[in-house]
Amino acid sequence: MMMVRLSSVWVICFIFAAFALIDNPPAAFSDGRQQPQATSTTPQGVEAGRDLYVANCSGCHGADAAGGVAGEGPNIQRLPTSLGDEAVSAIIKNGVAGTGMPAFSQLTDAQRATIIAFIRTLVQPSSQAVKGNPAIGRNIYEENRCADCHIIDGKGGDLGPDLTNIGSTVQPDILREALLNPGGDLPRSGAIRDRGKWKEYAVFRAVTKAGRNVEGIRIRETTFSIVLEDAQGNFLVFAKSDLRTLDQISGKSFMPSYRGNLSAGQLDDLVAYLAGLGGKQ
Amino acid sequence: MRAIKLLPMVFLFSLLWTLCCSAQGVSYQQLLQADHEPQNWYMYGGDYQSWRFSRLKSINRQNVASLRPVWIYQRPQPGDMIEDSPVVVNGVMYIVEPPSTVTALDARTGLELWSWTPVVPKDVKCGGCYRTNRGVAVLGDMVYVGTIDDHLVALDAKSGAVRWNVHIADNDEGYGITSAPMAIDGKIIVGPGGGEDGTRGFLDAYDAKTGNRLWRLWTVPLPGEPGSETWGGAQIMGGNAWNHGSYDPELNLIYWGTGNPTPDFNGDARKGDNLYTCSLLAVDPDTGKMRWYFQYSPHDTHDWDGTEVPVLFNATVNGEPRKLLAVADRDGFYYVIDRGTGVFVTGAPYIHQTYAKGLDSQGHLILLPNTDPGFQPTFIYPSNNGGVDWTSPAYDPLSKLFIVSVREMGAFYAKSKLPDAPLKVGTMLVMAGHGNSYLSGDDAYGAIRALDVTTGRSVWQFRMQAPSWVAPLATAGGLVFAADDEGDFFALNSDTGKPLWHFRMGGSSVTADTRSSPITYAVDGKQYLEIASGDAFIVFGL
Repeated sequence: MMMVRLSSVWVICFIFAAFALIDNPPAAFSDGRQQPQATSTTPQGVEAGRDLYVANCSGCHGADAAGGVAGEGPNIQRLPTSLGDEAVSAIIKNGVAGTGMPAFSQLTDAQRATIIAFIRTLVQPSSQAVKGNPAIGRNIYEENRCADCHIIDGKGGDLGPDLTNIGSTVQPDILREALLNPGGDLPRSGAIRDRGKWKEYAVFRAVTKAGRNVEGIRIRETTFSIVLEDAQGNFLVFAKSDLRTLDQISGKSFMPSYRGNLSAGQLDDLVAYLAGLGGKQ
Repeated sequence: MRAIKLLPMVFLFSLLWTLCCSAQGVSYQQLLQADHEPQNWYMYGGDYQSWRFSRLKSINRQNVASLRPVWIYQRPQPGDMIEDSPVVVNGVMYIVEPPSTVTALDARTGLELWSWTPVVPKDVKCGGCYRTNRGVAVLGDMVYVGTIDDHLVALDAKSGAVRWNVHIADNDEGYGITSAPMAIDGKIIVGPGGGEDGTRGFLDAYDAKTGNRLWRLWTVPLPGEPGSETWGGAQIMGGNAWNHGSYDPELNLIYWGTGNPTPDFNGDARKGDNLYTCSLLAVDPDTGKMRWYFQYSPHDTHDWDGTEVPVLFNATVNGEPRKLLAVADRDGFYYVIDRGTGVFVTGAPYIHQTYAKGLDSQGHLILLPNTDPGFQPTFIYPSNNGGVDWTSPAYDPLSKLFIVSVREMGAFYAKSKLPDAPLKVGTMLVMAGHGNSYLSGDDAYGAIRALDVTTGRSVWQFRMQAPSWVAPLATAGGLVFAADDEGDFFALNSDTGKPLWHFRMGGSSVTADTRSSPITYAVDGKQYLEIASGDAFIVFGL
């Protein structure tokens, strides 16, 4: 069943992989899971910002600014990048009417700046310049029928993530890694209250008691049921009590690796095209 | 024809009987013997021992697969999450809709009889809690509720009219009542939350007829008072008695847990054990004096309130009959304690935890190094919601199993520097850090876990996709009822934990929540089950 649309599946890969790292930016955790990044702001300033962030912001937005698990606050890791420091500072100072975001008017301008500097450290800076040709990259995208599974500006298939703004949310070197190693580090969504960061696009294999064997992306899972989406885009709903086995296929993506399928130059071009979607960081 | 003519008579008789019994009210004797009237669910924990167990068994393992919804009550106004555990008296169900609305429903049909809504300020505070409520208490012909803005109110059980209303604390400081009061002989016991706002915890008793305050037990001392030496000279804040307790009428002791010290995650200034936070207090209800205390988590820096509801039980230990209590504490350890003396009997972790080597012979935690929150986040199990949070356990006296909804989840804990100026009461800034960055999703799960009540040894578990916010309920029908975080209400075989039935209610963590405590009751000999999910109070029957 998986082989039916292998060509399109092959093409999708890079997007799954690209998304894989969106919600896994490095944070300043000390246990080796993630490494703090260099920043142009003074270390003392960032340190002060982190303390202020922990005291004032982490309760709703999480210690790594990736969003509160109880749904209190959204992921704000890239807010300074997308809105600019001044706008973010205004939000902190004045709050956002109609939401749970209060005004932190007691914080000084300098304190707000250090908080923003700290938040910026949670986003990995690009370590690789975009050196390809985006126009050629677009052709590569079309030739490989990426649009079978991905949407850009409303056009394309929806088995994989929407890429319309991929360039503004994912760094070029992460896009490249995702193309080479899809499924290596699947993205996690923090949007589900109390459920924390669930792996998205995780591929599961379900074998029913009647002997049916299927693979699909997990769309939804509860204690009693699971919904998979197969490579053809069909939703398959199973009661777990009807399954003989249910296993996540670790490291697997519906998109095969591009390693060896594109030359280094073609990869550069494709990355350049994608990095330009939605504006560069 | 004859039967048809009789129907109005039966209805009239039934109505008169209900009204008659309602007027008589609920005596303290009836509350004492709650298990003798399993058709009624008289109080938060089902009985004073907090068993959450019903002797009703017309719904049982043989027929539970046929359970279906009977009626649904939708709350008229949206609000914070429902966390209610209703009380049912003679066919009338009393529910609380967040934040503090009490509604009486006909328990057979869900039809509204009356509703009372207090005027609550829009900017009402409650440090560390949602603007919700977990239930009422009943005694005589009155229904008692604590409001989110700190009023204890007695309502006429038949009409909802206010009989008295006392203001017990200042909401501007962050106090707020979310727990169900407890009614004992002539007294109403209640404690507000608000620890994260830097309030000072207390437990109060009020005259059930007049609302006059009989006593107040402060759970943390003032400077210079006994226990203040355990605070290192720091501001003394927290220890709020924000959940529910249990009661032993023979020993004449109330058992009530206290919350964390404040600020939660930075204990640098409050050096010492921070008495009497994260503790179980045994309180004489006549005087309000503390008879003994048992502190689970001295000098807590993980937000592990010790407010989990204790289960009272008797057992033979080493050949000797003992009056005991058991607590699955938020710190991840199961404690068995002599409820007459407070002496630790045994204990063990009931979830995966990575911060303690175990308990010593006195029941004190043997902490591992480097498990306090640092300025760099520290990752440990359990999360700051603990092995279990406010949801009560159930105790099945037939199988002698202690049944708890566990949270297998770790968290990153971090602290921030304390400000130079004194911490300001009434502001969440006093949290000084956070432990809310969970390792969750695919890396966490929940379970209904059945423990041997005397040892804490796990006998069976039913694994859930995620940690749940629903308390289990055990019945003599050989069943355990609970719900998961996806909004599935389910029944388990109480001997094995195998699922026998489930129903998707729709109140999931993705949409609206399922956070409540199911109960069971009977009217006219028919057994029902109630649980809240999303905006609905749903009743099931055969």
